[in-house]
Amino acid sequence: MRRFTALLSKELRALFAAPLVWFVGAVFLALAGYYFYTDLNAFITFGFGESIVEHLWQRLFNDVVRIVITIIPLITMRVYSEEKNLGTIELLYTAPLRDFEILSAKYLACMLVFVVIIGATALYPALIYRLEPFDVSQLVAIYLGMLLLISAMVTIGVFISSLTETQLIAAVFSYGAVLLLWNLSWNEAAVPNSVVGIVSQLCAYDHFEPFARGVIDVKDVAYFVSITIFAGFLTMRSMESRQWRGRR
Amino acid sequence: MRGLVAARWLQTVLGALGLITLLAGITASFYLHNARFDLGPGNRFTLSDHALSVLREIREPVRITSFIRTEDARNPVLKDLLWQVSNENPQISYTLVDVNRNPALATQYGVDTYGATVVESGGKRADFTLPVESQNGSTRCRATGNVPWTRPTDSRAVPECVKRCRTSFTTSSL
Repeated sequence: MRRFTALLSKELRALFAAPLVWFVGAVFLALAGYYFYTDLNAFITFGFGESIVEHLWQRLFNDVVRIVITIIPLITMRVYSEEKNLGTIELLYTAPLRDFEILSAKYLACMLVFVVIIGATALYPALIYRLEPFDVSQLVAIYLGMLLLISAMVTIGVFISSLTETQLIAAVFSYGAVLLLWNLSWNEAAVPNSVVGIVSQLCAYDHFEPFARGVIDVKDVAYFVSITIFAGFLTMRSMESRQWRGRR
Repeated sequence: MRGLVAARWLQTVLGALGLITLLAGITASFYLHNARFDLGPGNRFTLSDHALSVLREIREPVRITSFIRTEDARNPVLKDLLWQVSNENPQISYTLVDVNRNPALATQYGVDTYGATVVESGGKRADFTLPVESQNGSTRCRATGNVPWTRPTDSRAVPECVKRCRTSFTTSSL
């Protein structure tokens, strides 16, 4: 456990010491703030005859998740690729650590970055709450949904990073993968009716959307946990393959 | 050496396929036996006890065909509602039809609006407009004489409408 903690703090230091996380966080919060302002403005101006607060969070956090998807590859691209490129991965592999501990430390470090970034968006509900108290239970579902979604997509990014030495390639492929997963069912019209149901079940948006409405379905939780486990499994196999492929 | 590498690849692929099968099985079982925690205001996305009792009373097959527009942002709510309804009673099945992709089917059903829904049971048919397509602030069920009967976007609307439409099956020839 001590070795795991040491590796986790090393990963966190590496992430927060680099300017990338701070730039990404700044851009994310600037965009999230813009969406908060424009979405709130739209609901106050037009109203749509609906509960402003309820629909504001639904719309705002759908927008916020879109930004999160864009920045996930930027955080995960370096996880393995950088170490492979610099050759430090050999040191890591020869350290008295199991592959699972290495993967867990890297995954957890990325997740903590996103917890900090996403946590900053709690300022928006706090501002509204100060003006007009409201039921915050919908936000519990939204934040849980975001964490599950981020967890699944971070693991995908970490897996892709484990396949290449080039960070840019890792970022591009991760972006393609998470965007495809998010958008899979958006153009249902292009998919035959017989497979629409399957495509919908694989689409991350379709599983996140209930969370945005304040609904926690166990089936949606299972979907995100399944993706996290599967991508984690593939990363473990990718790490293990160095022994029989003779590559880093 | 090459044989060993091939064996490792095979082991990895088989392991991945096994894990996919296991995870898909677990997710599918949760899909069929879902537990829902509705934290939204007013529990609007959960079927009420009354709605559940209506659905459980249904003994004969009921087919719901809803005519939608694929790009409609309200589709997830509609899909979720119909899924809940059909999941509650295996006698109820539903189909979502994109009007733009299946104009012939829409014409065959005599449907010309997005959100129009046809309920069929025992050779009889009733049409209504789903809550997501409510007009004048209230949903109307044509099978019951255009009487407003529920507030708009109320997720408990469909079971109530199924019940009313089923009542109308026996009281009038549709």
